[in-house]
Amino acid sequence: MNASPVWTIACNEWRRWWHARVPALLLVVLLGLWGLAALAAHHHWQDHARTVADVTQRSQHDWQSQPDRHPHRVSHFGDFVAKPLHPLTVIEPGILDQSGHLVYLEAHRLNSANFNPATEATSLGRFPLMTPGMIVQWWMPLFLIMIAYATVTAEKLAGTLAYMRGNGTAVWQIATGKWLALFLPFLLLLCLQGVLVGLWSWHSDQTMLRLGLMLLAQVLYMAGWCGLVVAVSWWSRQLHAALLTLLLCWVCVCIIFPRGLANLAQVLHPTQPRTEAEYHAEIKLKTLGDSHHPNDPHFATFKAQILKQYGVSRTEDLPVNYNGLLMQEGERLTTAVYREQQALHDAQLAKQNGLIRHWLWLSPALAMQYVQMASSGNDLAHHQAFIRQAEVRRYQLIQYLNQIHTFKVNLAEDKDTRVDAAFWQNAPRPTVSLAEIDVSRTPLLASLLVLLGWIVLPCALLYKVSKRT
Amino acid sequence: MTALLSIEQLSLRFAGRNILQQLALTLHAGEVVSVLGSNGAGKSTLLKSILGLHDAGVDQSGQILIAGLDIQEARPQALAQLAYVPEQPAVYGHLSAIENIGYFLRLAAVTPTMEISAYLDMVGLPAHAWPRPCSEYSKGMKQKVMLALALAKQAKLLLLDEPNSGLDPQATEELNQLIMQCKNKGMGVLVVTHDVLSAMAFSDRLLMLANGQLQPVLLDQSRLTLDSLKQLYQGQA
Repeated sequence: MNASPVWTIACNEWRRWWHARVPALLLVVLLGLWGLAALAAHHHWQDHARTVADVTQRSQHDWQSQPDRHPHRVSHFGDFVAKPLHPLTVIEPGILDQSGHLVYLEAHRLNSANFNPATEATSLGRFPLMTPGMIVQWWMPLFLIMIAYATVTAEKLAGTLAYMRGNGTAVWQIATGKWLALFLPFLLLLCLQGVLVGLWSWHSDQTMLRLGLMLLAQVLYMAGWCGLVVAVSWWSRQLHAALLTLLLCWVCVCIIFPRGLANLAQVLHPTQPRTEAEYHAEIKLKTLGDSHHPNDPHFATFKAQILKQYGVSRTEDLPVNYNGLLMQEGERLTTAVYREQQALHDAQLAKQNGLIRHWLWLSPALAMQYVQMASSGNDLAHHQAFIRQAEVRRYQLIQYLNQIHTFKVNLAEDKDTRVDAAFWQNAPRPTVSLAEIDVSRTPLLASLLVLLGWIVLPCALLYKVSKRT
Repeated sequence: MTALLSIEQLSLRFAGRNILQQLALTLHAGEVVSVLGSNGAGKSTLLKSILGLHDAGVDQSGQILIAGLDIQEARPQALAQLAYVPEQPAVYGHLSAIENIGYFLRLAAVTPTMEISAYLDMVGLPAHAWPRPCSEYSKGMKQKVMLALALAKQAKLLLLDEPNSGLDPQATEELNQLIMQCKNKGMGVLVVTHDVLSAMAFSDRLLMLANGQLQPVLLDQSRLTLDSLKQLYQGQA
């Protein structure tokens, strides 16, 4: 008889679920769905991880196995670099399937990432993979609504709400008891997911911080939904009104606003398709100079500078290989142009993200997804950080090969020269690592603020409507 | 002696209409008072005011004391003194009679002095029904559960809203006896009803709620006819 009214009300709500069967069944279905999603996502993650490991190993092996050869051939032999995947990818793969996670590094080009299953899938495969992250973002709120839309409305219709209040039970005790009854099962599921993933990935870098942030966002998100369900159920005078209002909220928060914002951002700040960007880069490169054209003004000036620097009148008299110097200058120019194109593309994406962040308060589902993607290292900021690291590695490697071309290959015997394989085996190939979570600081802060607001909104609504009996 | 229920200058206005106007009522221990009135006269509104259950937008003034405690200033303590039985008995269909009473007692933080089954026995609910879910009960059985709860709560004041509505004559008679039992235990009972005959059977005083105010009614059961009832409800008695 000493249990607090809040706990007593929560326990009674669970008994009602059990007695009505359907809510209990829905919880079991949700648990099964989560299990399926976890298995599918784990399998998908293993595929990704295996591809990354295979390609990295094969690429390393092929690179190291190169025989004595000309350095320019080596620069076009290329090098694969894979984006390191955090184990939390199993919960939220984010943009991984769209952005790809392997980049082919070669001379004169800034390639985008490859192996993006979303663009390679057949029509049915284009449906997004069901992941635990998606279960939390979409399915948990929907199941919550189906389970609990009547939680207060049914009490109103049965007269038990008025009776409880007339019996001296405070409004806040009833509301908190109802909220607790809805929230605790979902909290348990989220904590179980957190513990399982934590145990599985504890050895990875920044796991606790990333997992903690993800769990915090998920808990705030579901706490807000539970509050909203209680508030709307309290506000509604009829069961169907409660159900329809909550379904409308779900459609807006989970589907219309996220899709609408993404589409609006693309319309207002469009990004160029890759082929168009490459076309513009080619045009720009042609205006800068053509090393193969003897009368090209830029390379004529470059040649004059080199000859003056070394105090000779012919390239054949240079102590270094002029072709290697040309390669270095050409690489510098192409890299600058491609990086400029990349920067333009990134700027457009930043504008899109800025717009979405501005209206993020419309959709806590999107805010929660941002935190999940940032925590698992699969948001745009992490992808751009990976592309930047890969580009640094590419430029260092290619310029290293161009320097070997310049200093180790005689101009007169340029085409027939073979350089010792030890040079590529010791080539600088800086490791590409997963970026610190700090790269996603701005979207993380904005999203967490939105989720905190998402908690406050139902409380304010509940305060407003709870006088209704 | 302190009145169990004391209402002074209670006025209530809602949607531009005066429902109660300067209403006054006093009810003592061991007394049964019935409030009669036509539909929409404000009988249930009066009970809601006593329970402090009005929605936002209701403009209420005046003072309501329950066992000397102001319902506005000391709501939990005041509500602990009373038990309320609504027109539609508020029991959970998925719980049994014993579980329903246990649940509401836990919410009110009340420890009963006897086993819950003893209260159910006292109100005459058959023992075979006790463990069954209340969704299987008739309205009369649910009323008995609520009355058993009122007894278990050891309330001093009992509020009944249309207790006989929807009951057959036998169930009505049983309920009337239960109300008399409560009176004999020293409880104060306020009944809001349309059932004039029952009210005359168990009430010490009959009051008519009309134009937002309570007026005493004196009736002679032997001379009660349909016409005299009509006149009573039209305020011509």
